[in-house]
Amino acid sequence: MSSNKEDDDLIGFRDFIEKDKRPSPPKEKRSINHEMQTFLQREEQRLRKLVDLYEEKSNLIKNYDQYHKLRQKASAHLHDKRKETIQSLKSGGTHFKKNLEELLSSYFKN
Amino acid sequence: MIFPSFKKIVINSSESEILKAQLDTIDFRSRPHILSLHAVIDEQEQCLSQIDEYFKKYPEKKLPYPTFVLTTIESQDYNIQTIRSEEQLPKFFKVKERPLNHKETNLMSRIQLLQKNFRHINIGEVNRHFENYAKNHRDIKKLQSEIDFLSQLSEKLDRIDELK
Repeated sequence: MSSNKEDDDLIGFRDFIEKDKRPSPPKEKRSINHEMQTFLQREEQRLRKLVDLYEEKSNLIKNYDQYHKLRQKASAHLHDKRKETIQSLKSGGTHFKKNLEELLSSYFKN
Repeated sequence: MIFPSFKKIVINSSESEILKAQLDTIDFRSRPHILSLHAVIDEQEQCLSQIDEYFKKYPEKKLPYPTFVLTTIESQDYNIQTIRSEEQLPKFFKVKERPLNHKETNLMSRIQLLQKNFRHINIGEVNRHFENYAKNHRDIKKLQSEIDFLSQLSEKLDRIDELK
């Protein structure tokens, strides 16, 4: 009974439902459209990044260059480090110095 | 509205004046180009060196779009990008041109605006700034490498003394 009733409810809609089952438009066309839009969006982003690099970042480099300050700092640090290393190598009692003396004396004795 | 996909140009002559005149007619800043040397197959070397000279003289024409030279010569002596076949081209710009819808036209207008912005930039001067910046940083890196080496050396010396 109930199945017949359902069938009755569909009277008038059956044609519409059957037509609705038509195959959907080919997906290829949709993906091509999407591809074009994606390409244009990416191209816009690419150009924006290039303009940003060549306009804003280059201005920063040109007007606020930190090279001289960084170089001064690194040179001073290097100078201290060299001094410190030479001091530690020269100081008596280090095993490194003792080993080096032994090695050199054994080599030059002969 | 020029669509930013590849455009192929056949180079007709290797004579410097004719070649320069032909290159002058091309708007390199609106889309990527392929310069094909198949019509001047015996004078490819000469053409390549002249095209290289042309882009050295006008560095602004190298951006924002790349230019590739389609040639059978494989040489590292030039700053221009050479390809042996069109298959070697980057896929990014390999897009078939077709009428655009409303949204795509809007995007294209924005792209054109950015291209115009780019035309006002002095590429040669900016490239010099970048080169100088890179050179300075290599200099600082050299100093830092020596500092790191000396730090490691002192650490190792201290450790030897501690162990003995």
